[in-house]
Amino acid sequence: MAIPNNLTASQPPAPETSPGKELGRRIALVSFVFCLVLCAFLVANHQAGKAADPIQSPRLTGLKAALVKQPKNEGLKKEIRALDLDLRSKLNRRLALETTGAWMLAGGLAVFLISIKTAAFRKKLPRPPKKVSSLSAENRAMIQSSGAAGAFGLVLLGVGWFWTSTSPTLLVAQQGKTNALAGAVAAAVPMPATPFPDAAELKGQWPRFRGPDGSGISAFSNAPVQWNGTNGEGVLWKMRTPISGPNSAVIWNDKLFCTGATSQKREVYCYDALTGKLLWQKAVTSAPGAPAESPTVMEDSGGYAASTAATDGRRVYVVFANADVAAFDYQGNQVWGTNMGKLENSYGYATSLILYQNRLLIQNDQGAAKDGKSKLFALDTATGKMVWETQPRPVGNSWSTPLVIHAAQKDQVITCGNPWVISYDASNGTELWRAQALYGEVTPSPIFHDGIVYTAMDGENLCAIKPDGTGDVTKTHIAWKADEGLPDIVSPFCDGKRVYVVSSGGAVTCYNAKDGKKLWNKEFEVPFKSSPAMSGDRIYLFNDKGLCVIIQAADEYKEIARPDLGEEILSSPAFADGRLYIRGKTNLFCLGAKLTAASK
Amino acid sequence: MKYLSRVFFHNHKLFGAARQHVPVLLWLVILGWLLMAAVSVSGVERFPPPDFDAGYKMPPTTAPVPRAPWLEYLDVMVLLASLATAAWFVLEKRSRKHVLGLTIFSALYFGFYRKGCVCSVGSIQDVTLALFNNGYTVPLAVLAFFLLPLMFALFFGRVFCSGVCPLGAIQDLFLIRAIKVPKWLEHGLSVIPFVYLGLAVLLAATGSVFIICQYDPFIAFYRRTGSATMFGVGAVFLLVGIVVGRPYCRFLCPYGALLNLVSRVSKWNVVLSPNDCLQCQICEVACPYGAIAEPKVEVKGKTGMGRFITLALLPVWVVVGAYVGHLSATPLSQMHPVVALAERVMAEDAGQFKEPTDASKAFRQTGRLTDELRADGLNIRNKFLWGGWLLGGFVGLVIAAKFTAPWFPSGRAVYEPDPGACVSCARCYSYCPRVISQLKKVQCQCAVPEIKA
Repeated sequence: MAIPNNLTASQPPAPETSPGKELGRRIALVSFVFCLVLCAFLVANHQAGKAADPIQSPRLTGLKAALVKQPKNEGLKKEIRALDLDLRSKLNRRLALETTGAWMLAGGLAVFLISIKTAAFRKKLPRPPKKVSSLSAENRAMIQSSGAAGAFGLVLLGVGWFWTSTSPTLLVAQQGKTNALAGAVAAAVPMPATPFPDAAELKGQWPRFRGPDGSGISAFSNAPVQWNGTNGEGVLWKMRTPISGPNSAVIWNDKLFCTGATSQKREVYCYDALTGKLLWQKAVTSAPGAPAESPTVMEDSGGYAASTAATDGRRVYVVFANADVAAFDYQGNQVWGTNMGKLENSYGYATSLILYQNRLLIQNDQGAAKDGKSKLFALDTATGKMVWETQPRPVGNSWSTPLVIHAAQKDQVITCGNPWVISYDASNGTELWRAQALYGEVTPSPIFHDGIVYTAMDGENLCAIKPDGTGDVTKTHIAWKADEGLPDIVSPFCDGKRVYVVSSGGAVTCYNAKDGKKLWNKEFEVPFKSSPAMSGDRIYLFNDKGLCVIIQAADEYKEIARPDLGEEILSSPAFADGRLYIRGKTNLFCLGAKLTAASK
Repeated sequence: MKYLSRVFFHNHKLFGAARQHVPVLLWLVILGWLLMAAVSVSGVERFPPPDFDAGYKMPPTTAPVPRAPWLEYLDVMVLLASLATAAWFVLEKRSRKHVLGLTIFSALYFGFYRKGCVCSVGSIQDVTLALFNNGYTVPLAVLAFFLLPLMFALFFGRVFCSGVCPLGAIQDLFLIRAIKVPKWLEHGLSVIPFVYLGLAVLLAATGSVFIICQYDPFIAFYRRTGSATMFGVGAVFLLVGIVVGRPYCRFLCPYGALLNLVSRVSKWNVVLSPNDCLQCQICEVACPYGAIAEPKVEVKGKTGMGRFITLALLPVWVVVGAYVGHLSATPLSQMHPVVALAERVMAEDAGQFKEPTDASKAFRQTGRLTDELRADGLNIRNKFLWGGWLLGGFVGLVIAAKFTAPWFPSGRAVYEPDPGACVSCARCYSYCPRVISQLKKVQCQCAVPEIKA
């Protein structure tokens, strides 16, 4: 290995001090300082612009808010325009400065790079180190290179492994889940040991009229929006119910319950919610002492099975217009039965059942207010024995379904009848407060959201009542009232920010839940009896013709879709994961999307 | 500052001694801040139009006119001309100055004027997507950008990298004084471009994401706008590139991995003086990219065990790599927008998130069911299960090859540029004493006219 001596001088070279290098060094320094200052300026300019975001200008926002209150204030308008122009000009100036600054920075960097390269340039050849070539060194180099590749390989594989193990996936986790829509049958679930379900058990169920809390809001946000009852699009299954009825479906896991009745017989139906298969159909055995003759009811208003059942994962509870109340286990065995006696109800009993812990609550309003026959009962869900009953309620016959809420440190049962909204202690039936807020043949059910009870009835008002009073709270606890578009059958609905009411004539009116200010109104001119329900931010409004208007929960009317079922609808929808169940005059429908083979 | 300047310009062992690391780091920090400041000029800001109520009609929104098609062909012609010029500069003229001029031109044209797009590096994904998706047609210009540098590499080596690629150009211009990356480290890191290539191909083939474009480190500088992440990543590469030659090209560029393979069989390549090499090692020291290969001849009787072990482990690497790749199907598939959306929507449904994202909100507006989305997601994930096997197997093979290669002699007896690693920057010509004397001889022949008797 002959290496020229002139290339391997042992002394370190003297610093190169040619004039060109010195000039380059100085230019590099100047351009570096220039870039540094420019950067500081650009950063400051950018930060200042971010701090004074014109979109968020408090003054402009304040002026605009003032203009809303004084829409004809010309001076205010001029001021807003002037401020708007000023803010825009400043913004544009800042952006122009940034653009110019970027070019200048690029130029500065170019000068810096050229000068520093000039200054750092060395004509002399580099001095290679003395190469020690030996067998051990060669071997060491081979081992090092090979080892490095192996180590990097192991690191890469380790990263892949770690990445996999720390990447949660629901897509895969739920792949093996028994898929209802694919036709699988869920395994039988043994009856829970506890007497009533807790919140976790209730999650995702639809155990009563309008869902677990009577709000009509689904825990799932993926209900379908497209279907066609005529050609079957979006209809997962459709089953003809043995005896029709306007009561709504209730669902617990994969079991769906509904009822049907005539003047002669009363039946409970249990369907496989996944496939639509009728699992069992049981007739209710009337309790001893039940009236021999069924009451006269108006078929158009609901018939003998207008009340929606209730279920708690242990049993399903049913009530009929002839006052029969019964409980069935999930295998279809009648566990107990009772009868409330002859009912004086002008259209037929239609109040739905609700549950509070292991109590079945039955609002039995009948006759006239002065008759003192109306009461609220609590029966033991396991035995059907009465646990408590209220004092006679000062209301006449009604068709509204009560509601259990927790407010003012108490579990309260909210009931609606003409003319009182009355709250009872859910543990013993003691009256807590009442408000005169209703009128006529009260059918809409109350709802509760964010500490406020909402009731509505045509002829009276949509009322927002604070449920923390005692005695007559009519003058003290009604937060606001509204009187437009009021319902006489359809229950009100609250999406959390807005309250919606649907009149029987087909007018939908939306109010601000906080202050009762009317937000919008939409006339459909088609009758509605089904109560609204919501999945995600979509509100489902089924009219009597079977057309569903799906709207967005918003401060203005936004229609999403209008799928048509093609069958008369009087019931309200029930939801499960990705599915919507609705009972038509003849058929029970399960709406949703069919899964492809890949998801099976 | 004077001290820093002195250290930077005068000390030959600038990065060798530990005591000198502090000022270097200080320089890097200051320059880093300088580059990061470019973030301040990034981003598009919006300011909604004013609330007109005096009957003023807002003008209709206009879209910019698309670039004329002939300009795409101009780009191709410029690329072709640049590649030809680069090959001439590198192999015929052997001139670093000319290559530097071409580098500046490429940075200006392909970088600042064309804003880094279309580029050959990213074109890998377009071509892959077109191969795997019948609905996607790759434009001819993009195809040309993909093929031309490879074809030139087949004949002339990596002349594309020398001064045509805008990503290489900006790094080359930022390089001030390179430190030597240890051979073993260079060898270990050289696995990464192949992994990145495999990953980019898998993600493009499944229609997931153009990851090379998404994480292009220098495009933000060429466009003078981009996310803070893009600027940050680019700034890191440029900063490192001041003292480590072309870090992106050497340790990440997936197109470089392709060119590396192709140039190994190229007809002509950068050569110094194979017949009369002095073995002075100057070229090896001078090359900022560690691309000069040392002589490596058979060492008898000492490497047998190493070869046996590495060869025996070769299938193990491939199998383990394929298995890990298969396992990685889940996180890999989550880079696909549909799978990511399905995961998000399902997580929202499961109550893991309170607020929806814009994407999940938009999905819910469509009215489609989560089940449908889940089915779509599972379909895509199934592709990743297969893709994971292939990617993992490929990565395992690359690791195995790199693991095994050092134990086999190249048969090279002199110092010469490694055809795979050499980016044809032409720097070594200026340092090789033999080449210098050859060039001088040629210059003299040109300068002195032949005297006829």
